[in-house]
Amino acid sequence: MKLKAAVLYRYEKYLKVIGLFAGLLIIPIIGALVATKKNNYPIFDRYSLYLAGICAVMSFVFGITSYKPIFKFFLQNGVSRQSTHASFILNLPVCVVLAAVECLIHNTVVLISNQMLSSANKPFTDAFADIFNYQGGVLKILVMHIIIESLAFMMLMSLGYLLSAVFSGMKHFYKVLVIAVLAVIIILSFILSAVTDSYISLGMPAWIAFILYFIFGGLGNFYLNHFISSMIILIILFTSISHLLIRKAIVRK
Amino acid sequence: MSIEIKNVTKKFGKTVAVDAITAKIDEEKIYGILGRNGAGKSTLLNIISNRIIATDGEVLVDGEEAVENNSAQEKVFLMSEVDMYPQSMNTAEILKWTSKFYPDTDIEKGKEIAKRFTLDIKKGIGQLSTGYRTIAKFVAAIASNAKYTFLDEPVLGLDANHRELLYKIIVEEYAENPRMIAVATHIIEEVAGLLEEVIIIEKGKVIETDSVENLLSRGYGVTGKAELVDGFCANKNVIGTESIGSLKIAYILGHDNISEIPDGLEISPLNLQKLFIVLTGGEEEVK
Repeated sequence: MKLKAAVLYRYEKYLKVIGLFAGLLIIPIIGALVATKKNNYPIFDRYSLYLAGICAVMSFVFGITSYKPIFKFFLQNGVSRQSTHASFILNLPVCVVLAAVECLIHNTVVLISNQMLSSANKPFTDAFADIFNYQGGVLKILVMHIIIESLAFMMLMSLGYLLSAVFSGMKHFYKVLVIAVLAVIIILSFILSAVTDSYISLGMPAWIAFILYFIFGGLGNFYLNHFISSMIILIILFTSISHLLIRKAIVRK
Repeated sequence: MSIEIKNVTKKFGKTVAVDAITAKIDEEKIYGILGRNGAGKSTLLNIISNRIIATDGEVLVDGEEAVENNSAQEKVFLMSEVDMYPQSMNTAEILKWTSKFYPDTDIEKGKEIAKRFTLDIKKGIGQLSTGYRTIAKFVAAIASNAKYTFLDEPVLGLDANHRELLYKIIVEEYAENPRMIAVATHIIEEVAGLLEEVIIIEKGKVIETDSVENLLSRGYGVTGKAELVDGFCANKNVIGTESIGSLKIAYILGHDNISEIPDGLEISPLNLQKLFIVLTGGEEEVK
């Protein structure tokens, strides 16, 4: 009963946001189509990953907002910490909806643009198919697009949730301290990379290169299976650590 | 059927907020959980409702472990001082979601209570004044129909009219739908008339748990002209006095020589607040 209500609450909250987001996108989409027609140039093709980027930020924010306010609300309603965490995991598929919405909007606009530019015979292209170098029919490409995005969004949502769980449990002083130390480490790593001329490839510090290597399986060539595996590993890792944190979490005034 | 609190202790660092409390809260009674500020009332209620986890001991709700147990918590509702609802959520939404988490919730009853308080149920809780936020939480608590409903400082920010109405609704609710309603407060005088049972907490320990009737039978009050009252009270255990003009009322513990009441003096029941003050450290310490 409590778990079912908790899952329902999360879905209602985030599906509303996704619906609103999709509704609001109509304005820039119409703008892009008008610009495409006017310039006789496929605006949306060029910025194809932007929409996915916005959705990625959104899923991270979903994760951040999934912890403290919902934890408090669920405690008020007698939901156990275990069920609160379970409801978060059961809510992760909301990212599939977000990915599907993004895929649908993006590809619809690309197709309309192609029609408008009288290039109906132009082959169907997809940003993720290009990045991960996979081929197949339109349906396969769309399904893979949704799978890749869903996993990436779930990973980001889990990361946001974990960060929120970590920071919610800290006193204000420690929050500031952690943020300050992280900021210093990041800035120093860039400075040191520049000073010692120890850039790996693409002008990035070694630790960023390591993260990208872990996620994509390479720095220039990205491997789909490696990406899917690393996303799943990260989702499991982030949700497991969050579970440890939430087990004895309390509400701080 | 009851809530059993067994040897529950809660420590925050070196501070012992609740110290080996053992108590029993029966169903279908109105309880007063009384204590001075910082006595440990809210901590105990937070432990019962699984909001914080005890350092030691256990709480059973109708025989079921209360910690991390959805089925036990379905019978417990805590209206707390702290705002636990999202600030953008309005009372209508609070009632809607309360009904999902507490299946016996009566949304219409909630709306009716809100109307009596002239609470705008479409206004977000963050936009309400302190008093109306308290009312919104009270509405959810009463509408939940939870078997064990705890109200922690339920009159926070309320004016006199709303406080009266709130107490009236508690009594009406209890008469129509008998269930355990516990009021945790340090404002004894206002709630004294409501309560059947009392649990008094002081410095994290339960120092008294009894029916109000039994507690008040431990002593009595005498009213009359000041000089008569003073004369009568000599060598008696006086726990408090009040004066109105030339009249004086003294509260006395014990029943010694009660039959020898001189003319001009009247016997009255003991005052719960005066007894509370004595039990929790005396008037001087309160000052």
